[in-house]
Amino acid sequence: MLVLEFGYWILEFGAGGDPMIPTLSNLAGLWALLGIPVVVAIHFLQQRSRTVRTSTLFLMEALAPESREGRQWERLRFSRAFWLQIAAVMLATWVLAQPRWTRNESAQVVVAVLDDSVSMRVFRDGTARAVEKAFSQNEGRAAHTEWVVMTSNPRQPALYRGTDKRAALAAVSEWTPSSGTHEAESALRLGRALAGASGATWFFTDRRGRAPADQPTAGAGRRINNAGFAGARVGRDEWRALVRNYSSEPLSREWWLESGGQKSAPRRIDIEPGGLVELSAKFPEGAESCELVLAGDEFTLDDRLPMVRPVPKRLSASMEMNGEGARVFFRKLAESVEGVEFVPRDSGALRLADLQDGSVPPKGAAIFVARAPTGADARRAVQTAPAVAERHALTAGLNWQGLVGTGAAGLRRAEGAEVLLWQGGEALAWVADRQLFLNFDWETSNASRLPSMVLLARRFIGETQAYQDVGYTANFDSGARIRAGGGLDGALILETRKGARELTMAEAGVLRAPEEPGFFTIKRGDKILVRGASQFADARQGDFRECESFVSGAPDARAEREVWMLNSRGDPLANAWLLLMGALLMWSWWPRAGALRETRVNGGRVA
Amino acid sequence: MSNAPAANPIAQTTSSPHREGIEAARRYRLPFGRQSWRGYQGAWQGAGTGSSIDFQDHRAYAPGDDPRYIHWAAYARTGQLTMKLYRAEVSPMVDVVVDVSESMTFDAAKAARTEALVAFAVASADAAGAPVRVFAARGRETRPVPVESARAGDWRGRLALGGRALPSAPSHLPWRAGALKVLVCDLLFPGDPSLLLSAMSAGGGSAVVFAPALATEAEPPLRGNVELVDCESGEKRHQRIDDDLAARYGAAYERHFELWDESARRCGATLVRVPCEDALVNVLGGEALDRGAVEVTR
Repeated sequence: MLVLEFGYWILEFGAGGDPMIPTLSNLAGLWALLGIPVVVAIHFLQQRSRTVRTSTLFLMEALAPESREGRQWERLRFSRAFWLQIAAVMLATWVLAQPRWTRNESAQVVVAVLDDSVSMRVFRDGTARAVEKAFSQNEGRAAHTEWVVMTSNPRQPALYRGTDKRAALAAVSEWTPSSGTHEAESALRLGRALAGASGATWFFTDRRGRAPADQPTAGAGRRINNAGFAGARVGRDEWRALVRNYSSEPLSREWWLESGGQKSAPRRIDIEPGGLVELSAKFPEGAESCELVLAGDEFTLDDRLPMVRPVPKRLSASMEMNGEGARVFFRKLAESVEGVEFVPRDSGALRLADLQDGSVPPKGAAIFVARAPTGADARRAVQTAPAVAERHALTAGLNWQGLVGTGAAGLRRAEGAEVLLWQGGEALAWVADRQLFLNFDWETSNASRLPSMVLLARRFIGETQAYQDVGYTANFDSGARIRAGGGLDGALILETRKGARELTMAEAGVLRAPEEPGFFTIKRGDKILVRGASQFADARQGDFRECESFVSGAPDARAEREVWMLNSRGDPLANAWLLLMGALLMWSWWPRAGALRETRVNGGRVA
Repeated sequence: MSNAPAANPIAQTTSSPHREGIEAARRYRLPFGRQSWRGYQGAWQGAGTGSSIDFQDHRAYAPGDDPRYIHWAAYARTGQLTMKLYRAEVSPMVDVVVDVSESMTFDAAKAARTEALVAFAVASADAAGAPVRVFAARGRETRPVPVESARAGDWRGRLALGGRALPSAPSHLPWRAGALKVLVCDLLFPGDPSLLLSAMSAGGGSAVVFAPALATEAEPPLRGNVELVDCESGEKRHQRIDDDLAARYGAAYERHFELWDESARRCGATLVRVPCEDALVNVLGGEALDRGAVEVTR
């Protein structure tokens, strides 16, 4: 039988794969190994020393003087029956453990989806170990395994995809989580699609709440006491920052300010469990940037708060309106916007002017108000039809029910203009080519007292300011949208502490502050568009009270077994081993001649 | 659990070992007729001249000789006074030494056979009119046993010997020169047999060794793992006994007694093993009679 089995292994080995080492599909069968100590114990009991008084001990001593040494071992008699029974136990264990060999044609895809939340930075080593454990559990279930390591951030490409498990684990070790709180479901759907029915998808996170139901998930987190900056408000002359204690214990931390290579004297703050402490101070004299630092803990992302002295984008405006009411309203409104400054007529980037009915507006950004009518037109009746807003970013959330006026004037609406307001089938306001047209008699309406009109004009001025191709300085939340303005000519370059790199088309299309807190600059060529500070702002990531190590949603044993049965084959000689085991037992129980004689000799002579 | 084999049916018919010895002495006796003895006046041929009717020799008359033994016919023929010498008739002295070490009594059959042999020797000496002394010996320790208690069969109960003794040969035995020396001992101890036997043979007389022997002693007590306990010293020994060791044990046992036999021949002693499993009278009629350890009573 052994020869047959060996030949079988040789054949399998020659066919390729690694069928030499079987996998025990029924580990409970190993309990049969307890039969070995049982057999040993039985043979010990059978061979227990019997005490006999004798008058001829001197003869025995002369015959076997060596038996005094090692006599304890002599109590265990390695008889034929002993070895046969041990062999039978081994065979029974082998059969009960149900060894199976992987089929050469079997294949699987094992996907590890790593939670890209920045809180996972603390648990990166633990995650690597969890991934290795999960991979080890799935390794060997098929002859060919493709390992996929990807993050839960769908914008990131897979960290590794291939058949080299060590390379996959190395990719996990080199991974740096960089996302804020986000949904992982889309990445998990992708992972499950890649794995298919015969593969496995594991999600690795640090808190149980992020684990979707029925998704095999391994938690690699643990509860840590973290305190960090939870937000900041930075003005031209002073700053205010909030420090939060995310733990359930009172914490004490030192903080200081770093600016221009200088470091202020450390100060200590005590924060109650879950409490907030506000820090505020003047911006360092003459400094354009500084960094607030909190004495470090395990989660370092929220321990540094970079700040820049904000410099808004400059927008020149020229007032060219004739109506008193409109002129006062728009000047006051524009002056309230930081960075807006008035310049002489015809020289501003934003013209605030009135427009004659039917005339062609000049080019450039502008807010045009219909010029006040004269003559018979000045006595037009008040329109009672309600003003209705179109769905547009400028009118979103605004209520126009209070607008009272004499109805639409006669401004010519260009083709392609986006109407913002309607009244009785006439357009009251529209935008076209970065120009806002207010097509009603401003002076006879109540628009200057209407909050919706204030907001509409304020939004338009803000958009115009953002569009300006000039640089500015501001503080951003990490990952927050940045409006650089200007056109799309030329590549954008992002400079951070790690160096400069050219932004991709996708990144340039929707500019975002770097995920890594710190100072940064966005340039187009040599022109600085944005100087800024990216501040860690996702307070949920700094709260580690819910973090824990766990395993949930692991595939049930039945499903695992079904996959394994598909990918493997059993021992074809199992029945032969059972027969051999029976034969060995029968042989061991068959009394030998010596045993019979021994029984006869010992009869009635035991002391 | 006893390790004693079932008593022999024949031995069971005898009421007691002492009785069995006396019964045996009616049929057999110690080898008094094998040689000439020295001793008191008696009924046995002495080694010297005496007053028996058995002619021994002639010699010239010396003053002081008993004139009744002058050979007058020879004087008539030769004119020389010649004395007729007759063999003396004496009662031989009998010394009985019994080994009372634990090996002689650890088996009931062996203890019974020992008592029977002592009773046989004493009864045999009494029947021959020989003065008898009995001693109990264990190792270097020897104690006299009152002959009356030996005759009554209660000598063992009156013994008062010390504690355990090492398994060694009985020594310092009080043998008398010219006596019939009877040793009852199983000879199961290591050492040179000639030391004991030459001491018995010294000083003339006759030496007879009765060695009670158990058939179970001729082979190992058990097979398998056995803790052997020496019945005399209490020494313990763990031993695995298999067939090979058992065979070597049997050979060693036989070799042990061959050495005793050979030494007995060299020393002129008579040594006979007395099996404990059969009736004494039957046993004595076998090898003991053949080797001259006993004689048939007339």
